[in-house]
Amino acid sequence: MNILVVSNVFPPGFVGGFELGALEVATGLADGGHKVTVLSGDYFLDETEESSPIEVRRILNCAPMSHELGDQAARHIQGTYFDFHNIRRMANSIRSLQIDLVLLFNIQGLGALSILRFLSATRMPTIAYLMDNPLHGLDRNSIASQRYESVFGASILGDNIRYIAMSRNVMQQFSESLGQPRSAHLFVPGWIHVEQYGTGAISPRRDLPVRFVFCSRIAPHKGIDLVLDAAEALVGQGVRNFSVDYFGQGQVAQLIQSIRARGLDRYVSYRGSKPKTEMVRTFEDYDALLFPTWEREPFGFVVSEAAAAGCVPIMTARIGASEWLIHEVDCLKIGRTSVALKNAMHHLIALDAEARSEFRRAARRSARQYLSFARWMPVIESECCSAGLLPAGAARAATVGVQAAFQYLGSLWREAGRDDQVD
Amino acid sequence: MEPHTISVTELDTCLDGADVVFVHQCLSATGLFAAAHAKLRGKWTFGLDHGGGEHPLAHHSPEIGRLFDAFLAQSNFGASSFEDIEGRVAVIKGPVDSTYYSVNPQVRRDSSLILAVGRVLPHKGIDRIVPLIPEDARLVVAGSCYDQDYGQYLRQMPAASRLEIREGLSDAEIRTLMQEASLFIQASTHFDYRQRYYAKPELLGLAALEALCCGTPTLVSSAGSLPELSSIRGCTMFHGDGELGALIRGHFSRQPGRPDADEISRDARAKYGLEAYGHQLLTLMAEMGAWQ
Repeated sequence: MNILVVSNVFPPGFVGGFELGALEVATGLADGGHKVTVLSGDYFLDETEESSPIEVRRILNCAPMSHELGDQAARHIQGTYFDFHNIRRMANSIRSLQIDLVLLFNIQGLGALSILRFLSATRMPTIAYLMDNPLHGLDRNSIASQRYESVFGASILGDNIRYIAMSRNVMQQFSESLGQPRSAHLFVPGWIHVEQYGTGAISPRRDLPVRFVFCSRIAPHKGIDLVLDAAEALVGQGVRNFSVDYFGQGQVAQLIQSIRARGLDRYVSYRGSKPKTEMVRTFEDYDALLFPTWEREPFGFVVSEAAAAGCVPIMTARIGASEWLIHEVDCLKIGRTSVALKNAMHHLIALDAEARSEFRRAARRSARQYLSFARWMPVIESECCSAGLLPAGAARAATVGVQAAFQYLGSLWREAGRDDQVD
Repeated sequence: MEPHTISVTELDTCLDGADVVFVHQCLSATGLFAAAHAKLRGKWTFGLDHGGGEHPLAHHSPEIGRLFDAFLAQSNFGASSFEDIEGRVAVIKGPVDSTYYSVNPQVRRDSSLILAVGRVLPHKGIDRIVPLIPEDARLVVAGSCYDQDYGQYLRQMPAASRLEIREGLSDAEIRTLMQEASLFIQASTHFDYRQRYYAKPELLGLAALEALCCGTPTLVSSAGSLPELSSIRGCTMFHGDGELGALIRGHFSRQPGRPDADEISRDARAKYGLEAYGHQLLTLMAEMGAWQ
């Protein structure tokens, strides 16, 4: 099968788990004998010159990710709604490469809504792989949305677009942004590679502080402050036998200053940032992962990675990853408050060493059994093959006319937007 | 009508009921808008231009022509409208409503009546005919006057006493005039009486075709698509005003060997009539896969 992968960013450069996931799936499909071509933005150029069975064309325009200063609001609108450059490049690739299936990963910033509508109108066999909501930031009541619909019509997607989602959470977010209920054909969790983990037994660690780890973007929406609040509250209650280590990039200076200001140096530390392959082994040194992230978290790969190392996830209830694990069996699910987080931490601290070890073993067992890439890649490939069975010849031909339709309607849309205030 | 005045919801509802969409004035802003929505809904889309204007994008970006599965030109000259645009162009001449416009034996010919039909505008070249009206004939122009200066100019011409402009006639009244007329003249021009240039003065010549279907001998100028009509029996093309004058004089001198009304009508119908047009259109659609 000829597969066209579309992703706003594609490694070696990456921002988060979405791009790395796209790389792994694309590689898995290429290993399965499919011809895979990737269209991506050029924010990160590939200077590794490593040969690969996957051809990557960094020819798309990702409006919000630019090296130049400019009108961010205008870029946001372009990236959310419409970018004719990207439509044209994609249509051309579909025709010239005789594509059988389009596999969309993160298309946020590429003119996401129009990409979906373009593929829908052509009836091109398509899978939208939702590791996040590509329409995040689209406000259906905004002037921009109303202007878009007045030119392009209502955004209704056809059933030629199938969905693989990491969670019901992200599927629901997508449906709400679109304004049309859509359901996933397949749910696939954030996976781990079992072979990257150690096989040693998890033994009780008696009379040692309980070790917590935070590993994500150092940013408020990931809950960095909630962790500090919880730690401060524990200390305030006289609980001393614990530690928290932070890993990740982002607002590091602010974090370090906050740790100092709260007088938590003895319990809380920032440990830098490690490559993913190193981090999965590092998790083995910890009893629990603290992940009080925002509730719209589509999944949270770090949950799988930590659990597979025997590091019990304490996470916000209802995030994507929480749909795959069971509360008090292999994880703890909490409301997104510092009190709930503090109570969960305290619960783990209060367990005896053997019970805590058993909890860790359960998390490890579940993750390795249900969340392994080796288990899910064949399922993903099977779904792609199933979607790709639809005849694509007529759809490829249809890209010619539909491309022109987007060209003209796009010109009207831009014209109408000249007088709009950016909303 | 501009695209922003159109309710997309209503347009899409109309389009949903169709398998094939014919877009008239296809290069105008509204025509492109309708075609774009037809394409988004997976419809076969055919475009026709009647000289109703062109959106700047039509020539700025030839790819915009891909909105249409084919352009349908009513004449070889009309096909030239699409030269700069990508896309297939099919020439299917016509159509003229040959069931409505036909010979009527009940209507007596008026041997002194010369008829011209069309909007009274400079590029219609009515001023070319007026000085050539024989003294024992009269010219009736059936059509609304959209250019008052031009109307005034015509009325001040030396032979204007033999000119009558009739506005607001119904189709039936115009048909009767065509059946009565001794001669029909379509004198359209690329350069009007003030030497203003018109790229597309005629893309078909529908009024002349209707007159021919009524069996009326017809003179057409060499402007736009009109020369193509001279393949119909009873239709003669002229190049300049001198040639037009000679043909008018020849007509009124009753030269022998001219086809009769039935012959003219039959030939026009065979080449430009609804049935001939429909047959060619369905053949094209079948060849493209839009019709089985």
